[in-house]
Amino acid sequence: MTSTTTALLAAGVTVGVPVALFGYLWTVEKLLTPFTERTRRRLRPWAWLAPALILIGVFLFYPMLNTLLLSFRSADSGRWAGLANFRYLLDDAEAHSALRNSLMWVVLLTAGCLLFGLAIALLADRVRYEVGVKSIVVMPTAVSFVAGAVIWKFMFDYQPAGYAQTGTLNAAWTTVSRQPPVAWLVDTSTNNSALITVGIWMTTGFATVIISAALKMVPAELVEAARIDGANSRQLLRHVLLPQLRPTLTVVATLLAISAFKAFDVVYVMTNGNYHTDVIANLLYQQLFINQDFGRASAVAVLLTAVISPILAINVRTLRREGRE
Amino acid sequence: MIRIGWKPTAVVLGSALLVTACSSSAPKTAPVPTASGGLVAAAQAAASTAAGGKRPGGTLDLMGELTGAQLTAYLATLKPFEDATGITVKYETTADLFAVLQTRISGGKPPDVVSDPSAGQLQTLAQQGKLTPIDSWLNMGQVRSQFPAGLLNLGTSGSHLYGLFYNTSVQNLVWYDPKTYTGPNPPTSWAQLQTWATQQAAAGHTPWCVGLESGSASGWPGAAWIEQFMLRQAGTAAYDSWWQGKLAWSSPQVKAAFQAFGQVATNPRMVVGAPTSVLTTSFSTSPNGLYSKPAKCSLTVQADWLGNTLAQTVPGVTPVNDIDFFAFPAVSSTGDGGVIETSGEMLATFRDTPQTEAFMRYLATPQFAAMVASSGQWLAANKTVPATSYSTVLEQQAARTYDSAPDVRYTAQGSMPLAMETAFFSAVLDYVKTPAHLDAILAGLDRTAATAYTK
Repeated sequence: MTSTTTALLAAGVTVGVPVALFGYLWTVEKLLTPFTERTRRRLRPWAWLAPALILIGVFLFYPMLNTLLLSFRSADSGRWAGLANFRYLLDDAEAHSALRNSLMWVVLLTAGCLLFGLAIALLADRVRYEVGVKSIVVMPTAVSFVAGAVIWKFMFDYQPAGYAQTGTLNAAWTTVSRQPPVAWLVDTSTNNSALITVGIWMTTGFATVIISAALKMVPAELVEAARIDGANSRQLLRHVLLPQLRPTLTVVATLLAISAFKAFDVVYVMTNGNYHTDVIANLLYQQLFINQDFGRASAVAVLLTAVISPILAINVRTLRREGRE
Repeated sequence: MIRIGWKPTAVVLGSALLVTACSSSAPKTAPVPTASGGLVAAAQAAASTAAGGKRPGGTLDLMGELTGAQLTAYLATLKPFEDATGITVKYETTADLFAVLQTRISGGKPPDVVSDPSAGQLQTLAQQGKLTPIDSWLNMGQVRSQFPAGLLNLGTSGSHLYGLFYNTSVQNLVWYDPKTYTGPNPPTSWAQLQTWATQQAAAGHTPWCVGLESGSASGWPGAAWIEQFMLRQAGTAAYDSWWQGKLAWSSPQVKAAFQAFGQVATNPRMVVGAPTSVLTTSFSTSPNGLYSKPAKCSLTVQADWLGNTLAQTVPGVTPVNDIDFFAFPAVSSTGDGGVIETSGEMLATFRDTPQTEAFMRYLATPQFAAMVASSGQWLAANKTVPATSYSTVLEQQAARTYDSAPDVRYTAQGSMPLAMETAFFSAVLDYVKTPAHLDAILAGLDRTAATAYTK
C-alpha cells in the first residue's frame, strides 16, 4: 500500500467511524419512535449494545459452540464420534503426560511467580533504588516467549564431560560441584522444571508490578499503627500486609494459573514436547495442525476451557468484591 | 516446521554465531557464490516459449517457506520468467507452510502455486483432487527422460502428474576431514568403514559426529540415517512400502535400520558423550567437531550443502582440502547400493490459468534448471544440467553423484503424512535416549500409522 492510500484510509476511518456511529444511533431512535416512552427506555440499551453483541456472538460464542460440537465429531468432522475424543483424553498415555505436566506448570509457575513477585515487591519497597530493581525484573516481560526460550537454550547448553561447558548453568554447576554436566532439557528429572523456570523468569515481572502497586495502596497509618503496637516485620507481614494484599494476590494467582495452562511457546521452542515435556497447549497444536484431528483437538480445547472457567469465575468474583469494598 | 529445505540457512546462522563468538580476528572464509551470466537470456527464451510466445502478464501467487539469501537466490531463478512473460511472481513466505496451506485450501483461497518441501503433503493433496494436473501442459516424454523416475512418481497420482521438483539435495553423504580421516576412501562397504571406525574407537579417537537437535524438528538427522539404512539394507521396494504405511514399523527391516543407526549414535566410543550429547547437539554445530581441538570426530553424515557451508562459515576450511565426501557405502546385499536419497521442494498448482500453465512449463525446462544450478544454493532436479555448470567443486561432485545414481528416492520423512513424520522424529530421540525401549517405540509408531494414513 502506498503512503497516500494509507493516509486516505486513516482519514476515512477517523471521520467514518464516528459518522457511522451517530448514523446508527439516529436510526435506532427513528425506529424506536412508534413505541411508548417506557418500552423505548427498555429497548434502547439493547439496541445500542446490539452491534457489540452480534460481534461477540459471531467471533466468540459461535466458535465456542462449534468447538463443543466438533469435540463430539470424528477426526475430519464427517460423522459423530460420541465420547471417543474425550475417552482419548482419559486413556492415552501421551494425553496423560501432557495433563500431568500442565498441572505441574500451574502449581510451580503460579507459586514461583507469586513468591518471587511478593519478595521482590516487599524488599524493593524498602530501598531507594526501587525503580531500578523493578525495571530489571520487568525487563524479561518485554521479551517474547520465543526469544526468551532461545536465550535460555544457551543457558541450558550441554557439552560432554571433559569439554568446555558453553552453557552458563553447566559452567557454574561443573565448577562448583565437580560433578558431570547435566543435560537439563533432556534429563526427565530436570527438564520440566527447567522449562517452568524459563516461564517464571518471563512472568515474575508482571506479578511484581501488580503486587508492588497494591503494596503502595496499603494505608501508611495502618502500618504505622502496627509498628506503634510493637509488631515486628514478620508480624507486620503476616497480620497486616498479607491480609491487605489478599485480593490482589488472588487475582494475580488466577491470571498466572491461566497463563500456565496456556503455556506453549517455551515448550515448543525448547523441547517440542519431547522427553515427556508436552503440555495441553502443545497437545492441542499437535492434534490440530499436525494430525489434523479436529475432534481430538476440539476435545482438548473444551477441556482447557472447562479447567480454566472456574479459575476465571474466582477471578471475576474477587474483582467484584474488590470493587464493592 | 523447519525442514530440509531450510537447513543450509540454519547452518549458516548457527555456524556464523559460533564463528562470531570464537574469533576476534576477521574470519577468512570462502565467498558466497553469486548467480548466472549468459544463462539468463536462454532462460528468458525458454520462458517465452513456455508462455506460447505471448506475454500473458498478470500475477502469480507463489507460497513457500524460504527467507533471506535462499529466497533471493530462488527469486533470481524466476526473474527471466517474469521478464519474458510479464507475469509478476508474488512470493508469500510462511514459517508454517503446512498449516497455512491447509487453512487456505479449507477457506477456498489456495495460492496459485505452492513450493512445498513436504512432497508427502502434495501427494496427499493430489489424491484428494485439490491439485491441477500438469501433464497435459508438458512434453511428458522429455520430462520422463530428464527427471529421475523416483521423483516423478512422487508427483504422480493415478495417471496424472501434479508436481515438479524445483531443486534437489543429495542426502546422507559421508563427510570427512581429509587431514584426520585415514580410512578406506571410498569404502566398498559399511562394514569396511565401521571396521576402521571401531579401530579408531579402540585407540580412543571417537570417529563420528552426530547431532540431532533442530528445534521443533529435532530428530530429523537421525531419521535420515535410518532412511539410508532402509535403502541400503532393505532395498527400494521395502523403503517405498515403509513410507507408504504398508510395511510395519515393527518389521525386522525397520528395526534393523534403527539398530544400525544406534550402533553409532548410542555408543560413547563412536560419538563423544553419546547418547546424551547426540540429543543435545544441534545438527548445525555438530560438524564443527571435525575442526575442534582436539578433533571430536573424523566423519559426519549430512546432505550435499555441508561442505560449502563449512567453507563459508568456518575460518580456514577450504573445500576438498579440509572437507570432502564419499557416497554412503553399500551395507548389505539385500539393499540397493547405488540409489541415493534426496530432498527438495516440489511445486504444484491449484489453478488452471495461462499464468500457472506457463509457469509450470518453464519449471520443466533445462534452461530453468541451469539457473537453479548457477544459484550456488541447490542442485537442479532436472538431470540435463551438466555438472560443470555448478560453481564449486563439491557441488560438481554432488551433481555427478546425483546424475549417476541408478534411481533416486525422496526422503521418507518428507513423503510420509506429517503426523507420521513428527512421530518418527520423536521416536528417533526416544530410541537414542533409551535404546532398550526400541520394541515399544516401534509399536507406538505402528499405532500412529493406524490413524495417520487414513486421511
